Formats: sequence, structure tokens, C-alpha cells
Amino acid sequence: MRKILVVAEMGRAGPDDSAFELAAAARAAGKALGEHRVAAAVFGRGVAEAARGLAPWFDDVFVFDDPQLEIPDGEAWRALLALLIARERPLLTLIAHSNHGMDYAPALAGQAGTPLVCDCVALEVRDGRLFAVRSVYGGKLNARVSVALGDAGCMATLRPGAFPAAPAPQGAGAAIHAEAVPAALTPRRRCLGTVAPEPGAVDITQSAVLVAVGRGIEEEENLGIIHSLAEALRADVACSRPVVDKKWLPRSRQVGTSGVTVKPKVYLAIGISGSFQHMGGVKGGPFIAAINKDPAAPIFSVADVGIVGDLFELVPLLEEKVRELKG
Amino acid sequence: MDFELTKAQKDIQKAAREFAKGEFDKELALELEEKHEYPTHIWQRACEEGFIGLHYPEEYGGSGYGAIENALVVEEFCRRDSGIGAALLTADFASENILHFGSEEQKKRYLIPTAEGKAISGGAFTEPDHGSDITTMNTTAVRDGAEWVMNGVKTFITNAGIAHYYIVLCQTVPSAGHKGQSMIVVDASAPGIEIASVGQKMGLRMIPTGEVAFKNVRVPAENLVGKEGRGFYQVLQFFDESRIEIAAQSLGTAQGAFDRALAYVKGRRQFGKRIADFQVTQHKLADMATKLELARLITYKAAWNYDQGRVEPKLSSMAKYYASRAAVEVANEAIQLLGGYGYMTEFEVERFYRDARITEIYEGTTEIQKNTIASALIGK
Amino acid sequence: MEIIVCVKRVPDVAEVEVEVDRSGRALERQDLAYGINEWDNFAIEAAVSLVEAHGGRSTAVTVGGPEDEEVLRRALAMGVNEALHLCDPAFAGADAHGVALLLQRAIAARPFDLVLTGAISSDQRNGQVGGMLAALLGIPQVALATELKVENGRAVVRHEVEGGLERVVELDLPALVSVQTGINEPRYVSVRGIRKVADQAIPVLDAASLGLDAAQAQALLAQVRIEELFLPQRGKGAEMLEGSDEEKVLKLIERLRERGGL
Repeated sequence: MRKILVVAEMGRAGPDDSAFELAAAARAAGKALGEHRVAAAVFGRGVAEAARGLAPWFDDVFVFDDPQLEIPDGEAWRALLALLIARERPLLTLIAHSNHGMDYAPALAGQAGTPLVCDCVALEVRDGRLFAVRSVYGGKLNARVSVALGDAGCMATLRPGAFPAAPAPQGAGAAIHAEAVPAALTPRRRCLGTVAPEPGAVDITQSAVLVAVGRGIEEEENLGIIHSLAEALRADVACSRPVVDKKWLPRSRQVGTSGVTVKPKVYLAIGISGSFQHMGGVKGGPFIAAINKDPAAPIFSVADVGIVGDLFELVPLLEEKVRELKG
Repeated sequence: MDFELTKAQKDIQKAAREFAKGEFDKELALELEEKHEYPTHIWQRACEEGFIGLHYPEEYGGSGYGAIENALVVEEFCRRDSGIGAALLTADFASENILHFGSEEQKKRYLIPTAEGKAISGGAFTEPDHGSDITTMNTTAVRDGAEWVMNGVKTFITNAGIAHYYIVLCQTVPSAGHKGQSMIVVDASAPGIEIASVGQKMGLRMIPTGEVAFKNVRVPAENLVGKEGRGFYQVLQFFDESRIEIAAQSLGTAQGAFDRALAYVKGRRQFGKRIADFQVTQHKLADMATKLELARLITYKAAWNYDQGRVEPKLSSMAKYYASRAAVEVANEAIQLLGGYGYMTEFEVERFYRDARITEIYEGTTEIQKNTIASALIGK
Repeated sequence: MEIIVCVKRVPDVAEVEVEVDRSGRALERQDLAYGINEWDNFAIEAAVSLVEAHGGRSTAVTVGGPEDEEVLRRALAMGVNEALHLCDPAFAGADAHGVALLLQRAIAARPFDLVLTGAISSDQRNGQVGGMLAALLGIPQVALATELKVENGRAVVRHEVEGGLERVVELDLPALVSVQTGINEPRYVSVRGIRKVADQAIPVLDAASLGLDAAQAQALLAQVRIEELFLPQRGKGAEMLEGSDEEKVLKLIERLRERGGL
């Protein structure tokens, strides 16, 4: 029988949302395949309960519960998944396109000899092929790609949030399999510790209004107009990755999948193109306003209102008008 | 026939573009221009990366490239910012006279620090009574034992006050007209040199332009650059090269103004359409782009020709004449396309226009270029 | 130490409108400026500065057409010691796995301690080549590195994980590290650097020299097919505010006020 394997990531309290998104995507793909089983693989220490929580969505859950897996390490997951895939021979393996997924999925595919399609936002199975839609060229275009679902199987990483989760299917209820974990899983890569970003002076995760600035600001000296606007709006300043890369603002101000997750009421994105890595950190459905000089910037597809123009003109003008209003 | 740049030329063009993108900054440019300040930090960074003096041989701190590579760098710098670009291109201005005519000792003493970002050069040719006509100089240098004693006033001197040395065209045989002229290099620290302002300029505001007066300035005899009595001819030969550089400055400035206008008309909407969708705009853009292409062709050709070792003053003059006019016209149209915004400092094209305007005047006015072209056509 | 750095030439689409060509499967290339993939530029800087600090040799490798040689020259001008150009018409359309396979064939025969790649490329955004190459070479790897040190025959790497956290891992060499932007400050390409390497020959390796039969290469290298490129559905899209700058700003303030941003 055709098998689809889902690699479930764990959050702090049970399975991550992405696990249910992958489950739904796996079921949809399975329908096109006919008779199939959808399995999950779960890794961690003391994850038995979380694994049972996943059971209604799956036909099988393979549980790797071991002290070595306390910290999710990409190379450890790769080693175990390579063994599992060799044994189970799934036709399709679905992985979350998280930072963790990006760490192990390509190496896993390379080791297992299966093609991989990354960062998919839509999937379809037909004519013996997997079709996927992925975002290319800085989000300015989408590509529809396809790969044969052959003997070697196929892997895909799915963008978190792109696939809606679904209720557990009727009648399902997984068989739970406790899997053995060999000793010395990753002798050549060892985890030395985890580093949290230096706490900043301002905790932007608590801010109601954020003025976020990106690459468009061009120079560190130009940040003054952003701080000044934020002050007028009584908002806090956040930023996208390029600003932190240049060390113009601390990491604690970076919003995105590699930064912090914020949930403001209003998000003003200035000179930010709006990649999903950045917008993935903006939660809670805020009102998003964007200023960008590129009319084709992806930010305008997620923003509520947008202005195409020169931020060096617009930001000081906006500040001036806001100050006039507030008196 | 091949219009392709070489690989190295493309690499240099790209490197200059990246450097300018990384280091030049609009707000900084506006500030420097307002304060009339030289972009010292950027100049030093540009030297570190080998952009200044790249046409010097390696033993004098350069990379052994030629006029075409220099033109590509100047173009890219001025395209990103007409003011900073002009300031950088003048950092080694006239030092070519030492490169071509100077002694080994002079080359080591002046070219290496210029390439390393430790010295800025100044060319002192123009005088209050001798602008376009330099066949006679009032500045004199008289031999006194092992020294020259210099007296006179030079005006409209680029880098006056910040240059570390000046290359001065002076009369060493006062009665002999242009055949009695010589070129002397003078350290700016020499006693008796006085700098005075010539007032505010329309453009090029990051670069000081002033009067340099020599009052009994004594310099060693070995500071003579080239041959005694050949100063006038050396300057003319230098103009063949420097006019190509000014053509490149014009080209870059025009391209920068065009880039900004194009971005503007694509982004701005009026009467329910993008400005770029109006045919009147499209025709303006077509004219501008065509002028740019022609300016580029003639500038590159003149530079290439120079690098082939061919002496052809006519071509250098044509390049400078055409490219400078194109720069003024393209920048002017850019202002028109931006309308009211084009007139505002923040939108930059007015600065490009002001910086473009000098290219029709310095290094020989357009009229002088036409004289040169005509005399090559019909003889003197 | 011996460092291999894998690089790619990509179109710069940051501030341009992109169009799909007549095949429907590729970008319209006219008027596009090409250059080094941003992530790879950080990888080059890492390679050059590691060799400066520890001695040894760095080699840049790319898979691409004749025009892609420019990114190798760029790497050389930045201070990489050698370059390899994997170039053959049979490589056209290679997917990430195909590229990794070609790189593996070129690298495996050489001595190396460290392989560096950019975490992703800005064009296809797969982020696959590094991990796949490590697997094919049979060496440990880590992705999304934000800090990289080499000490006592080991690489100590800080890399991005979820929730804004970073993890520090230690890898035995040889290892592969794919680097994030911001890991260092890439130097400029200097004119002196360009001059220095202007005459340096860049060996070209074709299908045969990598032990591949050109006729069969396609099937092996291009398993993932690009069916079409298309403009993304813009969702509901933003309400675009029009008018003069002042009008736009006043409209924005109105909207912000309605939504509690003021």
C-alpha cells in the first residue's frame, strides 16, 4: 500500500501547528493516490503523549523517544529518518519548511536518493507525478514544478501556514510504534548549546504598534527618520533581516521565522519587500500598511494598504502630519 | 569590430557599481553638498579598493589599466551620485602629467600617495586673465640656483586648499609665449602659497574651487615636470586624456539622472495613468536613452583609441563635447519629467543637472572643443 | 586548510519587474542584471578570511554556462585561490540534486576540510544544494550558519533554529556549512584584486571529465521539472493609496486612525 510519511515537529506544548498542516496535505495527496496510509514520525524526549495526540490524524505514528533527542538536532533526525524511510519506503515524505526542516531535509533527500521539492505552497498528485507550487525570484513569481513519484519516492517541504489544517478524519486512529534509537546518533556533529538573542531594551512581542524597517533604509544613518516616526506614533521599531545583518539594530528587533514573532494591532512596514520569512513572524492578523518604492514588492499582496514611493520623502512627511494631528 | 567590454572591464564596472552602491548615500551627499565638504572617507575607501589611480602602473600603486577602465569607474561613480563621483574623479586630477612626463623620483613621490589615498592632486593651469586661452601665462618661475622661484595667481583651481600638491603651468621664458612654458609640481605646504575662495558654485559643491596664489614660492629645480619649454604641449596632450574622463563623468551623470527619471515615471500616476504611459513621456525617454547610448559609444571609443596609443585630440574633444551636452540635456529633461519634484533637492535630479552643467565648461569649454575639432578638419 | 566554496550567478530581481519568457518556464533575460547570489558572497568572504587566518587554500566552484564564469572571477578577485567551472550544455536544467551531484563529482577527488555554500539562492530559493552535497560526500553538515569558527580540526557553528533561537554545534572536519547572510561583512571586489587574477586560468570540467555520459545526464540531473512560471495570485492585495505624497500620507493616517494605530 502507498505510504505517505509526515515528519511532525514538536512545539513547546505538543505538536507544532505545522504537523496538522502536513497531515491535511498528506491526506489530500493520498486521495489522489487511491488506497494509502499516512504515517507520522515523532522525535523527542518524553513525547509519547504528544504522539498519542497526533494519532487521530494518522494511520501510523512512529515514535522516537530518547534522551539524545531532547534537543531537535537536524543531523539526528536525518539519521533516524534515513533508516525509517529505507524500511517503510514511503512514496511521499512531507516535512515542514522550518529552519529545522531546512537543516535536515536536503541532506536526508541526498542520503535517501530521493528528489526533493522545497518550500511548497500548493501540492497536487496526478499522472504519477507530484506537482508543487513554490515561490521563486524573491516572491515575484511562482513556479509550478513536477517530479515523478517513482520507486525512490519523493520529498517535499511545505511552507508553514500555506496549507490549512483539517479535522481528524473519521475512523482513523493510528497504530503507535515505539522505535529504537541507536546510541551515538550523530558522532560527527554535536550540539554545544542554545543561544537566545540578547533581550533588547524593548520587547517588541508586546508592542501594539510597530514601525518595521527593512533593506530600503539603505544606510544606518537613515534610521533616524524611522525612530522619529515611531516616537510620533508612540510605536516601537522593529526590522527585517537585512537591517540586523548589517548590525544596525539588535536581533531582538528582528521579526520573522529567524527572529521573533510579534502580534501587534498595527504593523507599518517601511522599505520591507515582505518575504515569507519576514511575514511569518507577523501573527494575529494586524492591520498592515506598507511603504515601498517597488510596486511589485510582495509586501503589497499581504498588506491592507500600500503606498508606492520614496520612503525618504514619505516617512518624514508622515511624521510631520502625525505630530500636527497630535498637537 | 567588437563592442563588448573585456571580462576584466566588465568586472571593474561591476566592482565600481557595487562599491558606489555600498558606500555612496543620498542623505550623506545632500549633507556634504550643503556643507561644501569633500567626501574624505569615501575617497580613502575608494583608494583602498584601487579605484583611484587604477591607470597608474603597479609600481606606482595602480593596477596598470587604462583610459577605458578609468572611464568605466568614473561613469559608475557619477551614475550613483554626480557629486561624490565628481569628487572622486578629481582626486587624482592632473597627476597624469607626472605619470607621462615626470621623473622616476616624482612618480614615486606623488603617484603612490595619490593611489594610496594619502594625497589629493591639483592641476593649476587657468589664470584670471587666461581661461580658454593658455598660450601665455602670467605665473612665472625663475631659476635661482638649484631652485625655481614662482610668482603669480591661478584661479578656478579644483581641489584648491585640499590638494597636497599642485601641477602648475608657468612661464619660464616670459617672452617666448607658449614655447616658454613649463610644468612644475609644488607641494601644497610650500611657504608662499595662499588659497582664496572664488565664491559659491552652481554645482560640484563637495569640491573646493579656489584661487591659488604663489608669492616667491621656492621649489627644488628637480620639481620641473617633463621638459623645460614643453609645458604647453604637455598640457594639450594631457587634455586628450582628461577630456575622455570628463566625457565619462558626463555620461555617468546623464545615466544617473535618467535612472531616477525612469523610476519616477514608472511609479507615479497622473490622470489615472502612469506617467510612463503617456506618449509624450515615452518620446522624452526615447530621446534621452538615445543620447545616452551615443555618449557612451563615443566616450568608450575615445578611451579605447587612447589606450591603443593613438593621439587623436579631435576624438577626445568630440567625446567631451557630445557627452557633456547630452548630460545637460538629459538631466534637464529628467527635471522636467519629475515636474515640481524635479526642482526639489531631495529628488536629486536638480543636483545632477547642476553637476552636469560644469562639464560643458571645464577641461575646455564646448567652444574650445569645437575649435579643436575644426582645426583637425581643416588645419590651422 | 582546504576550503571549497560553491557559488552561483543569479539575476538581480530586487527592484525590477520580472517577466516570463515565451517558453513560460524561464525568466525573460533581457535587461536583467546578473551577479553573485547574495548568500554565496558571504560564503566567499568566510572562505577567504578562514584561509587568511589559518593558511591553506580556497577553491570556488560553480555549475553554469560560459557567462557564469564571472562569479568565479569575482571570487578570485576577492581572494579565493582557485576556481573550477563545471560547464557543459548537458548540465542545462539541472535541479538542486543534479547540481549537488555535479559538485560532488568535482570535489570528491580533491582534498578538502570544509565545504561552504550559501544557505539559499535568491532565484530558485531551494536551499537544497548544501545539504544534498554533504550527504553525497558523506560528511556532516549544518544549515543557516550565522557564525563559523574553525579550531582544533573542528568547525564550531552557530545556526538559526526556530523561535529566534540559535544553536551552537561542533562538526568534525571535513564538514559542510551553508551560511546565512550577515555571518560576516563581505569585502568589496577591488580593482587590484581583479588585476591580480585577470590572467588566472579557470579550468572547465565538462560531463565527460566528471564521468558522466552527456546523453544520460539530463535524466540524472533534472528530475524536478519546471512546468511553468506565473505571477502569484496577489490575494486580496493592498488598497493602494494614490495622489501626491501629501495626499497619500493623509490617507494613510486616516486608515491608521480607523485601525487604532494613532
